[in-house]
Amino acid sequence: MTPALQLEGLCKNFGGLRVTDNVDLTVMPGELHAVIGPNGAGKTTLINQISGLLAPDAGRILFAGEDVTALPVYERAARGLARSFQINSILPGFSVLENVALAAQARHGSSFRFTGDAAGETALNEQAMAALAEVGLEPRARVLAGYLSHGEKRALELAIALAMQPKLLLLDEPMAGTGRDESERLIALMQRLKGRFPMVLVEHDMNAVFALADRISVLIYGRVLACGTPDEVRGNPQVVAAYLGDEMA
Amino acid sequence: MSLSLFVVQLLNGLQLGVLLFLIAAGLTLVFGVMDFINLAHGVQYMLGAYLAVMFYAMTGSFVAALLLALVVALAFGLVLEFAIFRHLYQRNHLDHVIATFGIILFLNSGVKLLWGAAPLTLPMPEALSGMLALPTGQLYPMWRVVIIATGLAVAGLLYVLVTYTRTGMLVRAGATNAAMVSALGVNIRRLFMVVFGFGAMLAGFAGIMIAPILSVEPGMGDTVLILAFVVIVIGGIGSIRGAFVAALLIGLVDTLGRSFAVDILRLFMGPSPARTVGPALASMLIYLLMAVVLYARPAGLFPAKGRRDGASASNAATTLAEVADWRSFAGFVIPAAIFLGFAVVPFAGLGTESYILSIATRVMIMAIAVIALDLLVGYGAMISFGHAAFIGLGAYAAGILASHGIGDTLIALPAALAVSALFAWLTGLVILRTRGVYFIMITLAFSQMVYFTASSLAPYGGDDGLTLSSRSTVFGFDAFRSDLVFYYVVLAALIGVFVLCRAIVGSRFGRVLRGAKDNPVRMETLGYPVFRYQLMAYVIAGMLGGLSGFLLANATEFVSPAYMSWQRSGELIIMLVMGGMGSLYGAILGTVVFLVGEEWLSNLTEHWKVIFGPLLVLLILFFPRGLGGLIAQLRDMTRRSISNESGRHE
Repeated sequence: MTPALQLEGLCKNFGGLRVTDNVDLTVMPGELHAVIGPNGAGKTTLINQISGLLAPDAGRILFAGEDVTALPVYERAARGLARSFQINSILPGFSVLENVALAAQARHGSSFRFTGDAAGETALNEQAMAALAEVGLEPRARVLAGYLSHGEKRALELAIALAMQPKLLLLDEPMAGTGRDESERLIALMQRLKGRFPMVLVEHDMNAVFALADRISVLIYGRVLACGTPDEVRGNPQVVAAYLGDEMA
Repeated sequence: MSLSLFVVQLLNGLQLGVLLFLIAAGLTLVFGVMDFINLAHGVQYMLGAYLAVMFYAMTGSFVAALLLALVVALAFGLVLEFAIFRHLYQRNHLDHVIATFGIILFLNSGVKLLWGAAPLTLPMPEALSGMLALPTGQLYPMWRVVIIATGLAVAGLLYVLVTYTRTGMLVRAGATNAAMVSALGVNIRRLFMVVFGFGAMLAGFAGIMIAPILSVEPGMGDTVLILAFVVIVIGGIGSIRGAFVAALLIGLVDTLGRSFAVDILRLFMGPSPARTVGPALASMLIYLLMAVVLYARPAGLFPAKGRRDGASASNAATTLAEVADWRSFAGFVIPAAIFLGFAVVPFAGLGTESYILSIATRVMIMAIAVIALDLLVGYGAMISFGHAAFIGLGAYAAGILASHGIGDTLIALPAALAVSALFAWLTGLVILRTRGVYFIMITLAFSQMVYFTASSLAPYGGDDGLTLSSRSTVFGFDAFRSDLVFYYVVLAALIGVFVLCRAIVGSRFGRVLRGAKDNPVRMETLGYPVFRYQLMAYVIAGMLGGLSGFLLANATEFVSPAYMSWQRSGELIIMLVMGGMGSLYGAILGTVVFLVGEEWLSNLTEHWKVIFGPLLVLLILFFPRGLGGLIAQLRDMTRRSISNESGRHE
C-alpha cells in the first residue's frame, strides 16, 4: 500500500537554528497521525513545509507516492492536500457559506469564469452546506464569517477543509483557544471524520491526541524522538522525561 | 566623450545624488517608522526654497535667510504632523496618498498666490559664487562643491545620530516594529513628531541649498518627490544607509545617462536613431533601474532588518467583501439613476450645451478608467499608482494610427486594447512580485517610463502632444463626428464597462480575486494560484484603461504625455476614494464629483486648488469611506442587526 504521505530526511534551518532535523515520517491511508512536542519543537514549521508555505533545505516530501517537494502551495492543494491553520485563517468579509463554497469551487471546474453569479451556483452551495452540516454550522451559513465566535471559526476551518475533499488533511492545533465544551465537540467531530481520509494532527491537547491518534510522533528540537501507537509513546521513558512528564502524571 | 567632461558630469551626478539624499532621508524615516506615505515631502522642499527667497529679501543675508527658513520649515513640518498626519497613521496607504496629495495642491497653488507664478531666484553668498579649478584643468562652480560637501556632512551627522544616540536607536527600532517600541513604553507620538519635523527640515534644507542654482517656482517639488521615492524604494524603506547608496546611484545614473546615452547608443546604432532613442532611454533609466532592483529584490537593496513587508495590507482585511448586487436597492437604483442622469444631460437645456456636453463626455470617459481602477484596488487590494499610463497607451494608439491615416475604430480600438493588455501583462509579471508600498511605487515607475517614452516621441509631437485630424470612423463612416452621437457612444461604453465589471466581481473569477484581497495565503492553500488571478485582473483593468484612453483621444482629438503624468494617476485614485471603493458605482460618483467640482472651482477662481486641496484633506479626515461608503455604512448596520437576529445555534 502506498503511504498517503512520506517525509524523507526533511531538514530546515532558520539561520543557525535547525528547526527540522532529518525528519522521516510516514502516514498510511486512513491513519490519523498526531505530531506532539513542546513549544518550539518545530511542529508548525513541519506542517508549513508539507503544505508548501516553506521550502525545506533538504529531503523529500512524497504525497500519495508523488514527489511534491518542489510544487507550489496551490498545486499541492489541487492534488488534495488540505490544511487548517493554528490562527484562524478564514475570510472575515465573506459569509460562512461563501468561505466553504470557495473551497468547493477550487475542486470543481475552472475558476477563470468571468460571468455567472458564483454565489448562486447550486452545486457549490449544496456541497458547502453539506460540509457545514457536518461541523454543525448550518444555521450560521448566512452570517459573515468575521462575526463568528472563536469556537465557530475553528469549526469553519474544518468545514473549509472538508469541502476541499481532501486526500490528506493537515490540522494545525484545531483545538487552540477553545473552551472545554467546544474542544469536546471538536473531538467528537474528528472521531466521526477519522478513517475517511488520513490526517496529520498537531495538537497540545493530550486528551484529544490520545483519544484520536492511531500513531503519534514526538518532535523535540526538530527531531523525531519517538514514533508509535499511543500506548507505546506513553510508555516510552525518553518521551515521558522530555515532554509528557507532568501532563500524564 | 572626453575625460574632463566625464569628471564634470560625475560631480554633477554626485551633487544631484547628495541633494536627493537630503530629501530621501526624511522620507524614508517617516515611511519606515510611521509606515506613512508622505507625498507632501516634495512641497516641503519647495517651501524651503521659497522661504529662503523671502527671508533673503527681508534680511539681505544668505546665512540669516538659511537659518530663518530652516526654523520655519521645521515649524511647518511639526504643525502639519500635529494637525493632520498623526490622525492618519492608523489609516491605510490610500488615505495617506490622498491627504498628502491635497497638501501638494494647496501648497503649489498657495505659493503661486503669495509669490506669483514667475520663477524666483536666490543669490548665492558672494564668497562661494566663484569657480573652482579641477585637477583635470577645467573650472567647476564652487557652490555645487559646497552642496556636495554639506550634503556629505549631513549624511555623516545622520549616521552618527541614528547609530549612537538614544533617539536614533528608537528610530531604528521603530522602523522594524513600531508597535513593539510603543508597547515598551516609549512615547511614540513624540518620536514620530521629532522624526517628521526633522525630515521636513532636511527637505527644506535641500530646497534652500539648491535654490541659488535652480529657479524657485511652483511645482519644483513634484519631480524631486518622485525621484526621492525611487531612491527610498531602491534603497529599502526605513534604511538611511540604503537611501544614501541609492541616492548617489540615482544621481549618477541619471546625470551620466543624460550626458552620454546618445554617445553610447551610437556604438550600436546609427547616429539618427541614437539621437531619438537616447534621450528617451536616459529619462527612463532610473525607473528601469528601479524595476530591475525590485524584480531581483522585492524589498529594496538594504531592507531594514526584520521589517515585515506590506504590514499595512492587513488594514484592508477587515472590510467587507462587497458584491455588487442587482437585487439590492443601492445595487440597482443608484447605477440606474446615474445612467439615466447621463442620458438626459443633452436634453437638460443647461444653456451652453456644447460646454456641458464636453464636460459630461470627459466625466464618463474618466469614469471608465476609475471603474477599472476599482476592480484592482477595491476588489483586489492592488493599489496602482500608475493607472493613467493605460489611458495614455490607449490614446497614443489611436493618435499614432490616426497620424498614419488609419482612423477606423475597427482597427484603432483593438490596437488600443491590445497595447494596453500587452503592457499590463508584461509589467504585471514584475509588479505582482511586490507588495504594499513597493507595489504602489513600481506601478508608478512603469507609468513614468511610458510618460517619458511619449515625451520623447519627436515624430508624434513629443512633449507638445499630437493633434488628431478627426475622430475615428466606424466602417469608414464618420459616425463619431457629431458630439451628441459620440456622447451616447461613450455612455454606452460606460454602461457596458459597468455591467462587465459587475459580472466579473460576482463571478467565480471575481470571488477568487476578492478572497485573495482578504487572505492570499488562505486562497493558495485552497488551491488557487493567486498570482495568475491577479495578473488577469491587472490585464483586464489595463484594457479598460486603454478603452478610456481611446475614447479620450477621440473626445479631445488630441493626445499628450500629460494624460499619463503621475498627478493624473493620483487623481484617478482620489476619484475612486471620493466615491467609495468596492461598489463600482461609487467610482462613477467620485469621478462626477471630482471633475465637476474641479470645473466649478476653477471657474470661480484661478487659485482653486487652494480650496480643493484642503477639501481633500478634510474628506480623508472625516469621511474616509467616501460617498459610496456612507451608503454602505447604512447597509452594514441593517445587515449586522439581521445577523444578530438569526442568533447562535446553541
